[in-house]
Amino acid sequence: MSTITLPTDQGAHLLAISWQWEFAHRVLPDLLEALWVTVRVTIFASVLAVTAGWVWLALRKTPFLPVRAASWLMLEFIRDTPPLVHLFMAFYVFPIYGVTWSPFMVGVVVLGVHYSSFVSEVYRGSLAAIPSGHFEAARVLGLSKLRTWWSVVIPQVLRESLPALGNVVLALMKETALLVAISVPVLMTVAQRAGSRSFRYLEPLTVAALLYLLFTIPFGLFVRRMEKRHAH
Amino acid sequence: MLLAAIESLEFMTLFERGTRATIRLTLITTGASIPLAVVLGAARRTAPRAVRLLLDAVVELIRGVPIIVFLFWLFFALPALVEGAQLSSFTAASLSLILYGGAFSSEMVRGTLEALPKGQRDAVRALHLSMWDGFRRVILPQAMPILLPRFANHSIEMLKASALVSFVGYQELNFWTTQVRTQTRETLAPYLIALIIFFALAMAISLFFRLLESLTHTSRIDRITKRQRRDRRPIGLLPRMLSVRGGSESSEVQ
Repeated sequence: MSTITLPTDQGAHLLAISWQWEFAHRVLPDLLEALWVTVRVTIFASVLAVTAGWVWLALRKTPFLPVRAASWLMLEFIRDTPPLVHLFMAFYVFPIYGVTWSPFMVGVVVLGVHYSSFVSEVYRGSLAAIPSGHFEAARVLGLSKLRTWWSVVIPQVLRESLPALGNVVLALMKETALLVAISVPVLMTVAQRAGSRSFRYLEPLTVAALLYLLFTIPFGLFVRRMEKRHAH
Repeated sequence: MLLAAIESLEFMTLFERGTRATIRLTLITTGASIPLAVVLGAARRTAPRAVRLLLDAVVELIRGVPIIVFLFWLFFALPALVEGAQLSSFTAASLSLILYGGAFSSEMVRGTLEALPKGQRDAVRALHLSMWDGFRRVILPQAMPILLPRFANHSIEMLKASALVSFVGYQELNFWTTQVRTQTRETLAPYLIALIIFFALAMAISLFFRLLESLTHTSRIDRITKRQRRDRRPIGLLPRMLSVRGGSESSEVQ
């Protein structure tokens, strides 16, 4: 982890408000490029999380008790420990076992797996909300078990989970800022680099924060609308 | 790996130091952010319109930004904006976690308060209870059984977020783990130990809240009503299919 040299109050006494538009303009192109990286990490990690969530759900529903217990413990462990530590661990431990992934890849996998634990919880909640009558009806209609899941259960779980999944993606997008720890050039990393290079953090960090807001606020409103429509 | 774990036993004092710092920070941040969340959540429902809009805007701004950006901003950017506002790493760490956590969970508190039946508030007014009495003796006891498990999650999120503050130089568990890694050149064992400590702390938090739940009077009432509701559930295929589906509780993610 990089230790950061502190800007002493050189010149700070000159200006109470020392925003420099010129500097903000200068860092903007790099930050916009970083925004694209952020979006890419978010998309890949979300796809991984939403997919792996099903695997977790399947593991938690197997009739074999040890598998159920182990997957429950794993999920709790992943969910209750800081993703930053997972990130460091993956970054330093994977290469020892011959897994030489790019930091981008490590970031996507770690965030995806971390959030898959939340996704599986979302799926579980939605599954519990399906009235047991549906299962009984499927059996009465002679649907096979696979067919029941594919055409009755999964569509309902997905529809029921949609707003909560939106929240997960939103949280994931913000969590990508963690990747500063393994220097994946996401928004946070680029802002921090620009700051430490020039000893001016105000402009890059503020512009980065605004770029995050540019995405999170509209998306948050969209998710909330979805939640409201779902409640009826 | 086992050997490595034993080797790193020498470094247990470092882990201990880190764990102490993490516990201290988590206690402070949860202890302050939960009341903040309750006050903010209540204020965002009942305060005058102008105040409410202002609070909503501030909360949205804070929530929309990653916590680490917020932390960096407080520590590195704020001094350039406000003269002499250079925070110490501890102040920046605890302040950012408290404000972020409070803002984040105020949304949850507001939602919970909104979900209570409107009649309760009307009853408070009809009984001429003061606003504070009404909140404390009527509204809060009903909200508590719903809020407590969510506060448990909130506290665990605070614990998880505490790992971030090593970026601004506060020496907690994650920081000392990195130290052990660089000193021993061992990677798997230090991080595993750190993760296990974090997990144990999280378990302790959720146990504590479980205990708190069982101690509150309302949880017993809640259990009884739940049992009654279950007993009243329609039996048989057709009635159950026709019955209205209860609102599923989606798990919250921070």
